[in-house]
Amino acid sequence: MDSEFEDPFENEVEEEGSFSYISTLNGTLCVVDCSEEMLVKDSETGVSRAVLALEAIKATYCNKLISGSLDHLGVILCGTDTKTNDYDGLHVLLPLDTPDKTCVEVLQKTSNEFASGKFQFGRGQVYSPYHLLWTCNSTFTSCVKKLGSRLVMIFTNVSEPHNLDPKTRQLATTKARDMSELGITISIIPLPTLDGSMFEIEKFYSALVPDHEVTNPTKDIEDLSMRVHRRESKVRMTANINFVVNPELTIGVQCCNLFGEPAAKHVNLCSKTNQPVVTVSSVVRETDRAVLLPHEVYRSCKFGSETVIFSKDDVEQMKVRSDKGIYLIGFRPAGDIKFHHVAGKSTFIRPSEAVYNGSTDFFVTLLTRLQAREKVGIVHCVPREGTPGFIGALIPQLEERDEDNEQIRPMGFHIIRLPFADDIRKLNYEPSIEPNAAQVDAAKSLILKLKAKQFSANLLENPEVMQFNKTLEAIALEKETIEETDDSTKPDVESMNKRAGKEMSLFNDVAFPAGYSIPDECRKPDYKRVIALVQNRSREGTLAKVSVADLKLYCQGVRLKVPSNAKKGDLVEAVTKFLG
Amino acid sequence: MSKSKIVLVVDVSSTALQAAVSVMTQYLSHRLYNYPENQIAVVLVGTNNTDVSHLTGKSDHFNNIVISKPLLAGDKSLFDFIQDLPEKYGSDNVRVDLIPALEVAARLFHQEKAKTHWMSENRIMLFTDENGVISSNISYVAKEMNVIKPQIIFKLIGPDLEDSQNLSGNLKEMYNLCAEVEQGETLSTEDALTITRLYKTKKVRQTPTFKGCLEIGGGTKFPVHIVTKIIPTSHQQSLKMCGSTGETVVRDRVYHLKDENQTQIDPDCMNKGYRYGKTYIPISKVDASLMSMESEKELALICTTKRSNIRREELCGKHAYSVIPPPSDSTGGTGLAAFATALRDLDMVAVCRYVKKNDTAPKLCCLFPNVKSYCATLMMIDLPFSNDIKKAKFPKLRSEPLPEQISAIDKLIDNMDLSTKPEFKPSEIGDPSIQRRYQCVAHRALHPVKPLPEMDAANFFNTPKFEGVEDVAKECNQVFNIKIVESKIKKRTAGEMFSTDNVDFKTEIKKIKKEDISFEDLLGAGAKIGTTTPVQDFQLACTKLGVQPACEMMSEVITKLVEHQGNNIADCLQSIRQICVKESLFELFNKSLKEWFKSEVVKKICKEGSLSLIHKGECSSCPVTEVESECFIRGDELLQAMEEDDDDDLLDML
Repeated sequence: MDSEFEDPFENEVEEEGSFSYISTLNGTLCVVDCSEEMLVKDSETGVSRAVLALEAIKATYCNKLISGSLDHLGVILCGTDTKTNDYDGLHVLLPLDTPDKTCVEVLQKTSNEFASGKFQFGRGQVYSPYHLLWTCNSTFTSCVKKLGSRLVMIFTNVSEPHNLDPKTRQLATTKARDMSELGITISIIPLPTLDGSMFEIEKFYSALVPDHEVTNPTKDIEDLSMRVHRRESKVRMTANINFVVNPELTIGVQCCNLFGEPAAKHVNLCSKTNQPVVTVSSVVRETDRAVLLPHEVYRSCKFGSETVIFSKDDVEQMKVRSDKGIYLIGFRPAGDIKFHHVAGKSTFIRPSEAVYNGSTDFFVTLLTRLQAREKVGIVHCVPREGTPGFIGALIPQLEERDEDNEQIRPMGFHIIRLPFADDIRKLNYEPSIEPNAAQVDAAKSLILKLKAKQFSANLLENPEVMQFNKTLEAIALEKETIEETDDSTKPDVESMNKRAGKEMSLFNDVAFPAGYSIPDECRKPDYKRVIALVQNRSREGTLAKVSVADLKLYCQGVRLKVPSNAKKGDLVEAVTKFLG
Repeated sequence: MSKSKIVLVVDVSSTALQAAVSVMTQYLSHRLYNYPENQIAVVLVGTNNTDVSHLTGKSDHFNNIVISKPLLAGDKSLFDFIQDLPEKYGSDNVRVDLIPALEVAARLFHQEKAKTHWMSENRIMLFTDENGVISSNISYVAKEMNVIKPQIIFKLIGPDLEDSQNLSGNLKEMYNLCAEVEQGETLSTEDALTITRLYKTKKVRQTPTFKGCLEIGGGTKFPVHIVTKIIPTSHQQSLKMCGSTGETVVRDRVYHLKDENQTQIDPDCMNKGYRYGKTYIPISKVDASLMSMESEKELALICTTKRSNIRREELCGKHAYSVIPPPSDSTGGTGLAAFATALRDLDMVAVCRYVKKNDTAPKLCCLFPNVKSYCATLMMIDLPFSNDIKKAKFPKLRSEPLPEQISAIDKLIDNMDLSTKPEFKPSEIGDPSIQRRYQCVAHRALHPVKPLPEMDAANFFNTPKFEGVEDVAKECNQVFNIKIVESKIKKRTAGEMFSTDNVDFKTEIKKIKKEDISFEDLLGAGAKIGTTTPVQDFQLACTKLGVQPACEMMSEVITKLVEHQGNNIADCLQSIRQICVKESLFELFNKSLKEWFKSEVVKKICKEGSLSLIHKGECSSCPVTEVESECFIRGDELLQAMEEDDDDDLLDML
């Protein structure tokens, strides 16, 4: 249902947690250098650098399409035979716009052409980086939509553009500075050079982007796509909020959500015309169907046999209100935060100098000291004005980089939501017989055999989301078959048995004495038996003799949907119909 | 517990009657909010009269007992009645034996249909200070109470019951009765008051959400039950929509197209559309069925890994579960305990695939040990998928703290140490909005016409105070030099803008209204022709400053534009040339043009717009001939040749 028509009171619990963001569109221009060096095929892989770049850009386009975001993307080729804005050597392959499916087709076509050695737009021409930046700038300024962030990504393996005269160099540098003042970020994505020499950013590009971090070039398409994705999603969703250490001391921070994917939103379409459908909802009195105005709608609640009624104003007054901000309560040893005390997504905060000067210094010092002393902060976090907020823990995180100098984790605090006492249930645990040393040792060797050294949460993809995306893509691109999703969460039983078969049987021997059988309630239902039984009975025409439990189990086994409270007659009927 | 029956037995001769009333009011209002269907009866004992007409069957041996309220759902009148008890019976009572009253209470349950339901419980609460006589047979009553199903929960509430070891006389007898009743308990009035002061959400029965096996490969299986440990609590009751007098209302939804006629659409003729780039892709019901996954209910181990590989901040779930062995399976329990203990010793966790029901989406979960002295089980939390983790890149934070800054922060951390405040534990803080909802509902129910009360401060988590933290904070403020950034644009309210006494603003308006605006006034002191609208600026400058200085200014601007390859050079050249021709400033123009002409851009513009040197035909005093001018734009070489020729010619002429 469209969220705007939902009852605002019913949503109040959900809304309380999330931060409100300034939501704007991101604009990204990808520039692919088509110099000779970029188009030559790699001696090892047989793929040219330009194709690599185009594939990575295509992946970004596909991501954008699937995520349904309205962000703008564009692609410019430079070093071509064509002219753009009367400037030689530039070709706008895709204009800056929200991507649609034709964009992917264009990219695929171009990439195929490049791979087969056809160059429709020419190759290896001299171009002026100044003109390139000028074109990028004017593309951004002529964009009708308001863009929240503007990024130019340059894919190249040429440390210094050809035939670069000092004047053009000077002009390009000035232009780059002007653009950065306008809030346009330039990012260089170096690709491996042909002769294996280093990509020397100092030769030219460091003048354009003075504080650019040098990363090692990569040939791996997935790695490259990942880097593009990281840069592309870099400047996103920030909300400024005050971090109140004490009434005497306040600093400014920005926050963003780094974790948790929102579910795909949908609209209703008319099935005949595919036009969007508008939902109008109203509240109607049941007795006389009279439409009630919002202030005529009251809320009720049971209290014994009394019905308690609240007006709209009362409901407003019933809400718990706090002022927006993050309020520090104190510090605790890091070990005090229990692993299982989860209560939803965490929020990432970074300092902001927008309102308080000196915030960064304070923030960084607090972070490094907490990290060094293995402590965490406890905060009362109110992400929105007028909500009660929640209790959270401030977990410090230092910056981490991989061997290619690519940032894996940025510096900042994670605010982890902690559950309220009401959310934690008190459970009764039955005392169990303590295991003996042999049993624990057997378990240990089993666990160690099945150890994955490099496990991290971003290894496995959500099969449900993958399936959804693939189906959506197949329908959108009118593909005839839908690609099979392989469920990444399925354990590899065979290799597990091979690796730890011995340990498993050893453990079974010590832990479960002979004659032990798993309680019935925990056993997997024996579908085979029920299916055979029902089929036999059905053939004999004595289906009514099968018990209700078995019939239900049969329906489960053959994935036949029946209501959970179905009577025996209904079940028999459904099964007979199912069997034809 | 929503179908429970509660009988309150009140000894009106008790000295602690007032306290008993407070306990009852608080207890009942929690109860009625949590379980509106509960039935409550009140039996008074120690009254001067007797009224047991609500009992069926033989009832003539009861004296000084009044059944004031039979078992009925609670309402406001019940509270009013309880409130009035001390006034009504405070002086008008006798000390009698309490045991018959318990018999009356037990018989009240008897005459109801004894239907055992897991949502029901029977409860007798006896409020007394027990100074009377006990003559009846205690074991007889206890036996009577024990036969009633579901079993009676008996609570004895009175003063001086804190220390159960040193009871004397009748209190001890009553205490013994509690012990004889299978679910009996004593509680002192003070404790009862503290317990009922804060509202508590209702208890949830521990029911497994999953019964199955934890499978390791194809070989090892642990039978397990999964029960919920942490779950976001919503309010006990949602606020339902209704009319002003509580009448039922329904939500009506109409679907229509966005066209002029607002054509209505049948809800069955709609598809869901998902955004794919610019367009919406309709997903029909058949397509939707392709999207669902076929999966089988299971909990299967994928791998084990170091606990440090699971990062706390990445966990997005809102639930935590306990993985316990099925009750009465001690062998399986020991096996699971061995597994849990081994995980704890190795500081490792087990990563699992969890499918709660057939054909639901598989989840990624992490099992970690929960080892206690009496049992060892596992806990389970959801792990994120790679889709859930955004890979964002942020600029490096550069800061090198000074030693005094470090020591200030250290002082702050030491000062605000929560481990010195054991009473403030994050996991023991109640949700203030739940308390507030209860407070308002109970208040409105008992005082229907009064406005809602203010939020009770005690219900909101009170943050601990630290001594001397202000000084440390001030010190931090100083060493880090934290300052509020002054907003550059002074914000003014509408009132200030339009108020007549605002002198600043008035003079500003006056300034604009002045008729003789000079060039400086408009563009500011020391203004120059800008590069954004140079032609307009130039024209203005000509009229205000005079032609000569304006042209000089303009030529400077053009030089700048040529250097930076601006896009309005052509217009500038055109306008300056016009003015120069008009005012015979050919020297200035021709000299500058020769400079500018070195640029390829200018060359192109000049050729296209045939903008050349000013010649004799335009200004009579100009030495440049028309031919020379034409040659100039045609090319350098020709011009040079011409210039050389020129000199010769001149000499010849002389």
